[in-house]
Amino acid sequence: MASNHDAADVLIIGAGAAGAAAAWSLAAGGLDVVCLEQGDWLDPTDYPHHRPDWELHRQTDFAKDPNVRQRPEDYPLNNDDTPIVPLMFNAVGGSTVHWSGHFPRFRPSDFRVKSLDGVADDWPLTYWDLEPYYERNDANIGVSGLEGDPSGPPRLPRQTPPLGLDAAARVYVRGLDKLGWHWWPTENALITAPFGAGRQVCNYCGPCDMGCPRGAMSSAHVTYWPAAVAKGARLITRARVREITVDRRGRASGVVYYTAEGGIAQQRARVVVVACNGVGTPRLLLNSVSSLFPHGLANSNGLVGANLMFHPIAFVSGVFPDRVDGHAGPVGLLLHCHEFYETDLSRGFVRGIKIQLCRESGPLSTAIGHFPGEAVPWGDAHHRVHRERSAHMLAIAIMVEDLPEAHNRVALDPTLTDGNGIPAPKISYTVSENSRRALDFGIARARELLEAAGATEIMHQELARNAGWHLMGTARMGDDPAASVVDRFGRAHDVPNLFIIDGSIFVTGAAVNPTSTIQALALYVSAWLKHNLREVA
Amino acid sequence: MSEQRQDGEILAAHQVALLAAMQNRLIPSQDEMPGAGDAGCAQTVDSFLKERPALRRPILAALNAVEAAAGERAPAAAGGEASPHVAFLSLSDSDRDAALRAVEAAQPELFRALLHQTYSAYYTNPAVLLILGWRPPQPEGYPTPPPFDEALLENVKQRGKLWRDA
Repeated sequence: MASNHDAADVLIIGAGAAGAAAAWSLAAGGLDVVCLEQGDWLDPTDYPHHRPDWELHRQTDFAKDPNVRQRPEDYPLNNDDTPIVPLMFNAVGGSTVHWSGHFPRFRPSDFRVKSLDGVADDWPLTYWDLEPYYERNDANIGVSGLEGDPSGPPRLPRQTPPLGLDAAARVYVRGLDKLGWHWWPTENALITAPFGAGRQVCNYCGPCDMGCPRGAMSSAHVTYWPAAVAKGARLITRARVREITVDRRGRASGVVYYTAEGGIAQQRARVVVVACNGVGTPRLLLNSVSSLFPHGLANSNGLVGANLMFHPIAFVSGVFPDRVDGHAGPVGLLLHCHEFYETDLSRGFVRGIKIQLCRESGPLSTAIGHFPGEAVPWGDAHHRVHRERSAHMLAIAIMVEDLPEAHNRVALDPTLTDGNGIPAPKISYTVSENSRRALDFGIARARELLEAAGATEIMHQELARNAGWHLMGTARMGDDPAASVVDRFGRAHDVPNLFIIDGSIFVTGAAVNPTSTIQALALYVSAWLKHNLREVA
Repeated sequence: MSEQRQDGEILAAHQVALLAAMQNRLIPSQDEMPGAGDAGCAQTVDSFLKERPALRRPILAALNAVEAAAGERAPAAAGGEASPHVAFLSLSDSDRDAALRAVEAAQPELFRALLHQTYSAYYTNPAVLLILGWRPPQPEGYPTPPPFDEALLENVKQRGKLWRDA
């Protein structure tokens, strides 16, 4: 076994949103940082946006679902027992390579659901603890948007202006104002004006979900990684970690990993930081079995893998008589409506929903009914209906807060493995009654909105299967070691020099996209770690 | 061009011809738009099958199911071992549609695979995209709209704070 006997100060596993932010923060603080990533750097010229068959790549090498994509660096998932499929990308930048870049913050109430609404648990920290790290993160990566949204606390001016109001936005505003509902331009991990070296501003090409060839998306591989490497962080790609090793005292000593060539190597470290997402992190911990930790690392209470949360999503699509050119602009970014964000029990469910006003995509997306879940009919009516819908359709995403339930979990599959023979995850998940009622409420509101906006035909899919973008809760944070995996600083209760910084540590999931909160948490944990390294290591 | 005679990478020549004929009913020729089979989508789907082996079973099963449904409508023409896959080709357009609808109702998953891959081939076909006026998203992108007009938010701002202290 190749072995690096020079122990790094900090070893980070995973080069996605969280790992990148932590690598920058820790390396900038003068620590010796090594990061292992199973994927590789992507070459922006490999993105499909310049090719006539660009839409086909959503089904092949840029599919969101690793089981469909099947790149060598992907690991398979057993999704037989879940109506929502986990999505992720394995590369430098992680899932920020192929996201929509929607970058809202959690609201203060999102950290206090037990105190306010009597459900789930409060976080051991508050919005206000994280606020400086949200601001720091936005300043680091570049966010577009407009401060002053009355649906959340005040914030500093955004780094670049909000997206302008195009035909699609004007249609939505017409409906929203008619109903008197809240709306605001989205906050986006995307630049609309020059920001950062080597990046071009957004030119409204559309398919952010297959990567951004211009570097306009504020993805981890164009923001944090160049800065982290400049500060001395060492990023080793095509390095797939098999297990975290421990010493006789039960402290993390490093990892064993597979190299690109298939050899086995070892990396030692004084502190190990796990940032493999809400599925990859519990998988790695459960695969890290030793005599001291026979049920997996940091899993003495059996909570590693439990409480998996997604954001269940329903799409509602409207067809409009006039062109709305839904393909012309970032597919997921436009406006949001938080009219129904905070709890109102008269709606029939606890907690809230986000109404995200999205666009559409190209002619193939329209034909197969990517958003509405309803294909254009085949036969003699085909061309007429395709003409009516193509460039005339917009999609609304209803995203609801999913509360933690212990039976929703990530476990190890008994037979399925990745290309290196490492056991793969098995997902067991059901949509709760509360989430279902919230989705149904949201679908009804979206239909109301599309009608008010002038849609002539409205379609919806009740639950989007390929929509498990947000993976949360499987190594939850808390003050009580019996009821959580890590403490308020992301430190494992069972292993004093092991930290977790991805969506796994979320106590609850809010009803907004998590990456802004994931990166703020990564910076918050890193700040604490820098100040306490002597005690921790 | 509706009669395909060449073997594909995965499909035999008669399967390519059968698939093209089915595709010409799924997306028929109309005005300036070519039928999907005429546009070469059978060969494109064949290339999908080469690149993605997981598609082979459902697409081949769908072909066989439609041909079997066609055989029920044209028993005299049903293909024996010597000349397989001729029933569908022997039918009128309306009977071809009826065979397709029968499979759509009885085996929706298989039919969806056939339809989805046909749409995928058609709407990524350069000639079709040219007629429809689509180009790749890059390098041009699309026009940047005028800057956001904050005056539009006056009503929203007047409602005041919508979040809870916590």
